[in-house]
Amino acid sequence: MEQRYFDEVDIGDEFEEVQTPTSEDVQTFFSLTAAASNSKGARRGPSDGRFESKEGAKSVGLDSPIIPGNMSFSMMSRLVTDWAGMEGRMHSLDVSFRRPVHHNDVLTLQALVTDTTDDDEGLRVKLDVYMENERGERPVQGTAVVELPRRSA
Amino acid sequence: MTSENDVQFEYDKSVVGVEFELGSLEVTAEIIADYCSALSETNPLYTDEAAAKAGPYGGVIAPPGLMSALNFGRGGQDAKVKFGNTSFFAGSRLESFSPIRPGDTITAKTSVKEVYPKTGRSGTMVFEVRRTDYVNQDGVTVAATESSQVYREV
Repeated sequence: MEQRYFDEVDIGDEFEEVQTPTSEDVQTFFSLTAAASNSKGARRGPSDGRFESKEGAKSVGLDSPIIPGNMSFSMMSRLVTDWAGMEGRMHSLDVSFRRPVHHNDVLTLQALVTDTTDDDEGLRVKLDVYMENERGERPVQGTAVVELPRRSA
Repeated sequence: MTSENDVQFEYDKSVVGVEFELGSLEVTAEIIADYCSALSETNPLYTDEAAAKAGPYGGVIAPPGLMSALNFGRGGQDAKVKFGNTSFFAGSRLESFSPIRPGDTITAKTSVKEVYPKTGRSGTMVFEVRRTDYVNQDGVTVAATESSQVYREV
């Protein structure tokens, strides 16, 4: 895995990854909730089936099952942390959900460097992030702030 | 009845800022591995103990997005927003403050942060913002999330 350095990042830099979340991936993601159910106060929340089956999706007016919002959020988080490398740190991620993301959608996760700052808060890079599906729609978009090391340090 | 910016909607103001403990759980190596598997995560900081040992934290840590994926339980204060005929999960914000390691026990504490109306191109909506703080076994707040639920008429 490549390490990203603050002094080698420029405003306008872009990066992307393609991901196609399958029904099996969604099931694995849901299993996290089940794993947590042994803990105090935690349990799996009710689902109307919109995330798990075509029938459940149709019952709420959707054509096919969708990805949970927190899974889309996690995919955007992965895009950012993979880019930053092991010594980078994602300080924040802020996204809005504008459209449903369906199982097996071919998703291009993209990011654009919009600012870099070197001040009392550290070496920070601000990113615009968004997810685009194969139909050219952007169901998820937002911003992230990443802290990176300096190569010359 | 609450009226703000000529938008008529109702909610229970008394619950704003009242914290509720959702529950606690141990972040196990298995939970981290399952999360990484579901996302095709390959960053050695989260997936490879040997490589992570040489990294900045001396071992594997949890990906920051994990906190937004786990279900610590349901409950807490209900703002009982009355507006429109549908609602949906509109957005999420995560702040990561400190690393979360396998074996850490995290407690989630949630509260309604604010309820406010907003009018845009697609009409008027009411946003309910819920903040959740994640605190480890040493009392350190390791992360926080804010999620927005939108109520609207369709």
